[in-house]
Amino acid sequence: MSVLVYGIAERGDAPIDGPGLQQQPLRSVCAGPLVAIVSDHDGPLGPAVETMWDYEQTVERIAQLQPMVPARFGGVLDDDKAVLEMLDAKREPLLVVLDQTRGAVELALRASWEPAAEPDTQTGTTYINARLEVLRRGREIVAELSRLEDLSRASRSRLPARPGEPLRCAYLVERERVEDFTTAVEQIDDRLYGVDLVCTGPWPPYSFAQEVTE
Amino acid sequence: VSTARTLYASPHRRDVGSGPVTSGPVSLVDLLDRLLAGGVVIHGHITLAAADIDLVDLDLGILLASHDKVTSR
Repeated sequence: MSVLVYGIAERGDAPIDGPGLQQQPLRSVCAGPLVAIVSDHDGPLGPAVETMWDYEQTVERIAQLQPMVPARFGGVLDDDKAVLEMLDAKREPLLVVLDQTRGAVELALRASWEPAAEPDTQTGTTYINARLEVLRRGREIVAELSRLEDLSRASRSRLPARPGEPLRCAYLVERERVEDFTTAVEQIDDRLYGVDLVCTGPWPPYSFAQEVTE
Repeated sequence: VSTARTLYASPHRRDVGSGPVTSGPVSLVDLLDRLLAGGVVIHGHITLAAADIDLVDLDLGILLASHDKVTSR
């Protein structure tokens, strides 16, 4: 038997129940001001992509009942005792992240562009130059996106490691500003030549919870 | 399961492929990015059943390696 954790919420009045993955009932494990939302599982979780969407939908449903920091997919612990230990060990950073993310959602933005044509001969120098060029262009685009930072509480960006990879950004945006944000993305896209933007969301604030570790 | 999460896509990007702007694969990349690389880390191991393998016990490093392949498509 293992306990799958969906996320950690502040303890509230609303009961959190209903089905989780594999129709296993959701239940709460409480420790002080925090509550972990979990379900019990015996075996493997099923085909990956389908399971991930199920997980995502469950996390979103819980987040509508109570503000919650989502857990990385598939985190399992042996029993409730281990869940309690985890809650105690991470209490302070969890409370901080719950506070930072309350009322906000995560929006994802990917910017991609055609890399410069590869030279006929790949030498160490051309390889390094291509990597540097990707970083330089990535930083330029991050600067072009600065207005999006003004519309969000926090942001993260990951520069592409290789030519052809997208620049990946995450923004923590208040629910009521999602539309403004999307409009701003469209305006930026209109004037960014040769760059494609794709914005998805709203997501639970995964990218703003990953700093909470052991 | 509703997998449409696209809020905006460049017009050029919309023309690629036959799917509508809210098609799943676009959102899938961002889903994988969040569920596998974000979130509070609970434990290093996850257990999944894959379509033709009964049980795959993956650690997150392996899963992230496969995730890279998905995003580079």
